[in-house]
Amino acid sequence: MKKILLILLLLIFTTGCYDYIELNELSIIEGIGIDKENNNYRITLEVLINEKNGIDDEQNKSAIVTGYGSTIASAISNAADKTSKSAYFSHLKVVLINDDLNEDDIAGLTDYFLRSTEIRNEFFILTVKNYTCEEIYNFDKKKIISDEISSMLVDTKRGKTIASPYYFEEIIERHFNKMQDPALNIITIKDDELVIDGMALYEIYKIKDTLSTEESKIYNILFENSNNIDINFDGENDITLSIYDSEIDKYVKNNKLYLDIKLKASILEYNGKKSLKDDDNYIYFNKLYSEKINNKIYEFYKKILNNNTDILGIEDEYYLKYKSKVDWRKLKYSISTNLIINKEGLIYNL
Amino acid sequence: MITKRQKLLITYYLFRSLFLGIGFSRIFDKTHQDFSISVIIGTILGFFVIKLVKLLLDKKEGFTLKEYVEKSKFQLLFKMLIILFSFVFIIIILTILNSFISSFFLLNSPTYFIIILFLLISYILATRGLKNIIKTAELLFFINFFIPIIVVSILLKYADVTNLLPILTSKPSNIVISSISYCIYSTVPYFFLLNIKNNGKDIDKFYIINSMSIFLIFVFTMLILGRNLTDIYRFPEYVVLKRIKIFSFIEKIENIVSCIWITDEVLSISIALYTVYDFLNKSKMKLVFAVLLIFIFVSFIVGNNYVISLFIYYNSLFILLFGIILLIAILFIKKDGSN
Repeated sequence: MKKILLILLLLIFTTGCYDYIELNELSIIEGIGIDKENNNYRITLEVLINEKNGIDDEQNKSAIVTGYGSTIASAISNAADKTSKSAYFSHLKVVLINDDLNEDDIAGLTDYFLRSTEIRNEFFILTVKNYTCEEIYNFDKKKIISDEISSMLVDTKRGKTIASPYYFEEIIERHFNKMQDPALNIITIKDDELVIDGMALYEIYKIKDTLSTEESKIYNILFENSNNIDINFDGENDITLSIYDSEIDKYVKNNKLYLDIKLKASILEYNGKKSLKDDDNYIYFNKLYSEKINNKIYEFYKKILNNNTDILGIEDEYYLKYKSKVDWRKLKYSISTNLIINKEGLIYNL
Repeated sequence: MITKRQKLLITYYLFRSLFLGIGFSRIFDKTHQDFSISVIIGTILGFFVIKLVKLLLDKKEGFTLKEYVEKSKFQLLFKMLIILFSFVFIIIILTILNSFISSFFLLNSPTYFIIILFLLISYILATRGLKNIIKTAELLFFINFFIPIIVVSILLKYADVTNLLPILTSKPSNIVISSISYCIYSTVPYFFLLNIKNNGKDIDKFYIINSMSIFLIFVFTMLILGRNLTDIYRFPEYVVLKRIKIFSFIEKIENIVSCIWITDEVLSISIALYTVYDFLNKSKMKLVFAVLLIFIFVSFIVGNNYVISLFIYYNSLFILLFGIILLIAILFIKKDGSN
């Protein structure tokens, strides 16, 4: 009898029944959007809905709810109250922030997300340009927008598109570091399509400028995220190279920053006249495109320097190596790129 | 009779009991990337404390701590102090466990719901005697030993060596405090080993092995989360488990993996409670009363008052130091019964 009583007690206390909520009583939030309107936050939540139209026909859809508040927490609560069930944030995939949010706003939302016990910090964070987050989530009501964005970013990791995605925790790491500025992917609508269009450059949490898709490729190269980055060079030798490996050596010597970049590339498409059977032509290509990419990197570096945004983390790396601080803006710089074409594809020339 | 292997197995659980929620976060908070220096110095300091425990174990071989203390003129005082120390130890662990479980597992459950669960299991284990505690420890050992190894091998790909840099940036005073903290957190639970009839053979060597296992967790937490995130998270040793992904489809398993921390704590509470039970002359009624006292204190006073919880978190070190002082005092009990 005693044993049965004990087992019953353990069953009650050890199975977590107190916190139990049925799955169909949850509103699963996949995406959050944060806009600002008249000094108030407007939060857009994308809620997953499972729709059944018969026995075998099941469809996942989403519903959009919005809420307002003077703080991130109150706005999210306000929006969550509008969902018919208990809001569940553990499956959050994407958080969109409008580009007009200032440093304090982003610091506030960082605090909210980190403090929350329900939210897992494994979601992507993106900046919305030219539109509001609400407009992005309402872009196509037949689709789950958070899933779409998340898929685009995950494919990016496999090399299909160009921008490097960042998880929230990686951005936070940069924020607390104070020696490396963040850069966020930009999501926008172009030609009636949802696209990831370059990156937003931040100085701490203040948006300074944007990187085009071409510049984002350079960003990826410099971060050794070279997972098949396609670069096209028009002109006499119409060629498209795919950079599949990059190695960066960053160091400071005598008040000068050195960026030694080693790249490996393959030929994706070639419409030029030179023979790809001739090894001299490879030496010529290696030199030519090393210079061209080097110029692009120079332009990129000038841009981040002019915007005073240390997205490359030069100050941070210097501190890690030398345990002292340096003003990266005052450093002279030298960039050298060495590109090697290693793969020419299955054919030489057509 | 407890074998040498079983005794060493118990030290494995006791060693780790004060690191969840206190040891890791306090040491990371003070020394950041220099934690390794603190852990190494702390291990050396702890080794000497363990030598004291070994000395005492060898001295009282064939007796339990209770039987040994009964030789003293001040046996009542010693008994009261040991019971008090066990209470304090249990309260510290329950406070941390409550904070851990209410943060990640049972977000809405009231404190008493969480506390009763651990006290109930520990009560059952304590009243069934040391043999049952050890049997449970043996059964759980394979999980507790192999899960960290598997976790480390999975997390290896997320490790970033630059997170350990730059070293030697913490103040020397912070390194000293952290080293002492490490020494106290790792050695104080060994006190309960004294209540086992056995000598101290090999416990010093096993202390080093235990220390290496905890050092591995320290290193991996820092390698993966980095200085800033280990500073801001309340339980960095748990948060790091969120990164586990096996073949891109087995994920979100941190709650299952972190159960090893909970088993460490439950077994440590059980051993401490067994000491109380033994010192209360194995009276179940008295133990029920003691457990109720702890339950009421932790559930309704500590659990509902964050200020007291924080006080325990910040001052646990000084409270636990009491254990080492008690250990030294017991050392002065002579074999003939005088002090």
